[in-house]
Amino acid sequence: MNDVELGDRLSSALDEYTQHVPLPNRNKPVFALFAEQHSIESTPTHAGMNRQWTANPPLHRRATLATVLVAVIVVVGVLVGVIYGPRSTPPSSSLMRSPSSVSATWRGPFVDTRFFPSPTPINSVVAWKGHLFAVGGSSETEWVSTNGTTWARHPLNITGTAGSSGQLLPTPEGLLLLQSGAGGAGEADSGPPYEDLTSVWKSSDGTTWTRESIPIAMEQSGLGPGAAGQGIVIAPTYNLYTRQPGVWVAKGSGGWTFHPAFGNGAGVFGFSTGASRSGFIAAGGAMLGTVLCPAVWTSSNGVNWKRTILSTNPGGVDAVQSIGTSFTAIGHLGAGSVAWTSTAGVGWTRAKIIGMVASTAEALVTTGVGFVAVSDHVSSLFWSKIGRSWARVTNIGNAPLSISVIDAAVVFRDRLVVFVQPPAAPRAPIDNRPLQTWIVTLSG
Amino acid sequence: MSGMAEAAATATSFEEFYRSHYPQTVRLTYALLGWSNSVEDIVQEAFTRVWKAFPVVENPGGFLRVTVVNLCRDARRRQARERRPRPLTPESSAISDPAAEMVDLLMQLPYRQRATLVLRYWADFTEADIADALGCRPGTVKTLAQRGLRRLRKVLEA
Repeated sequence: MNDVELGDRLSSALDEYTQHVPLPNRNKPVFALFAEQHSIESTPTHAGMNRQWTANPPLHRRATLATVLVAVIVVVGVLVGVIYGPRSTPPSSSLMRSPSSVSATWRGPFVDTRFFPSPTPINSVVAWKGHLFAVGGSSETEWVSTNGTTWARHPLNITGTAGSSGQLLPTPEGLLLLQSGAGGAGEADSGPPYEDLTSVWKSSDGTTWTRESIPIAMEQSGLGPGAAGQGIVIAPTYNLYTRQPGVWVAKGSGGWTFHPAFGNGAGVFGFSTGASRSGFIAAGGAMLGTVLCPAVWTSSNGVNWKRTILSTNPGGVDAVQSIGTSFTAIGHLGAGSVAWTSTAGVGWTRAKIIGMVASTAEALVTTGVGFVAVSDHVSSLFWSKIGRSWARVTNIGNAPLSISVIDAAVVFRDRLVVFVQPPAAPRAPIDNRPLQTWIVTLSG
Repeated sequence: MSGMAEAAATATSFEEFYRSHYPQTVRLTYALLGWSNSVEDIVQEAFTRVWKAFPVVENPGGFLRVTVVNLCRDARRRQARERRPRPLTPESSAISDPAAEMVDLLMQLPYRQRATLVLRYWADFTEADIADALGCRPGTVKTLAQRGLRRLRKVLEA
């Protein structure tokens, strides 16, 4: 087959493919989106959705004495757990002391021009032992800061992971780095596509790393964002050839085991994961027929997972977090942003996030007294005490430009540190843009 | 023309531009990115940027295409970083097997090779336009196309 024939075949295939793709919002003028920033149209509610998809059908459907008794026992148990159970450790200094209404003061951008290239895009950032640790686009390097504005660079001396995607996870045994090489899935123009090379590293101080022994099969897996809790580490994975989802699970930092069919059925997951006293949660979407629907997977031990479809409409879950025994997930349904909350992953309540443009949620962080959702769009923050009602945070001062891309956000001491990619299009260089951080202080 | 009238004229012409370019822009985004929840966002973001520059830009169509190529590249990076799996399309069953296989292979190419093949063989860009969109020299475009075709051929003929 010569180049012309191959080109013709490619063109025909793309013609056929693009004729079948959906054309969302084809009649909506783009400037309508700006109005939506202030008032997103109501997402249609679907009566019966919860009855169909959540684990607890309403009592009036099965109002037997036995179920009522079970419900009472569960409620009492939850109340006892809430009152007498162990508390999640709050940050040393709460971001918000009076959370009835919240405003945000942005300071920045802070650009550490000493480093070029810089770690954008940020793959992972954590606050651990009084420092911020970040790993990002320029592989094999770690950045450490004590204030979120100036950084020290530490080579990781990790080889063979060009285009890698590192994830930092604080555990009781030390800081873990799950380094997942992307091979051809990155920007390299040569090399086989999707050749993964994963390695796991551990550090007691965050800067000196020792390589952990992992199964060969795990070395060949690409990993999604992981989570650590209850002495267990989870790392979702996905075989790009077989499209078989799974999860790697370790006790402490060693003894990794693979558990396939993560989430019992077709779907995608691992956009974000979280851990709480109740167990683990992974966010994503599930295929119902030809529709990708928002879904979460929950597990008490990291091994056995239960999938919950949050809506039968097209959408997805972008980020999850937990406080105590409650899970909160944020995502999108159609043109609106939505939050779902649950206690221990049983029964989910949906709430709209008015004003957040769909699919722009970049991070969901806990502040000790609530959740803050960080949206890519016009640098907007949304705050909720328990995830069930959300209010847009008023920005004070200069926030990043509306077309900036927010990579990550992390609570650090009394502030929120937001990692920003400067605008790129249409002609600005995409590679090697300097790292920008913004310091956000929230006040009520 | 008063400022108000000028703004109204701009809005009208932009809306015409939007309506005429929207379908093909969506298809180009799908061709570059594969099926993704990000497609609509990218298209809207691209039009938003064109809108901001609309009164002054000489070639809004070209500006739009370059913006889409760059935004898809950013999104592709993010997908790789987050390891999000990329199903071919929610309606892949509606596509013939040979076409699905070809698109699947295309989506496995590194982004610049893929973008070069899409822009050259499907969007009918000139080499100069592709070089402009990708921010490289025309000679690099030839190299990227050759590498992409070689890789496709290798798999198809295996």
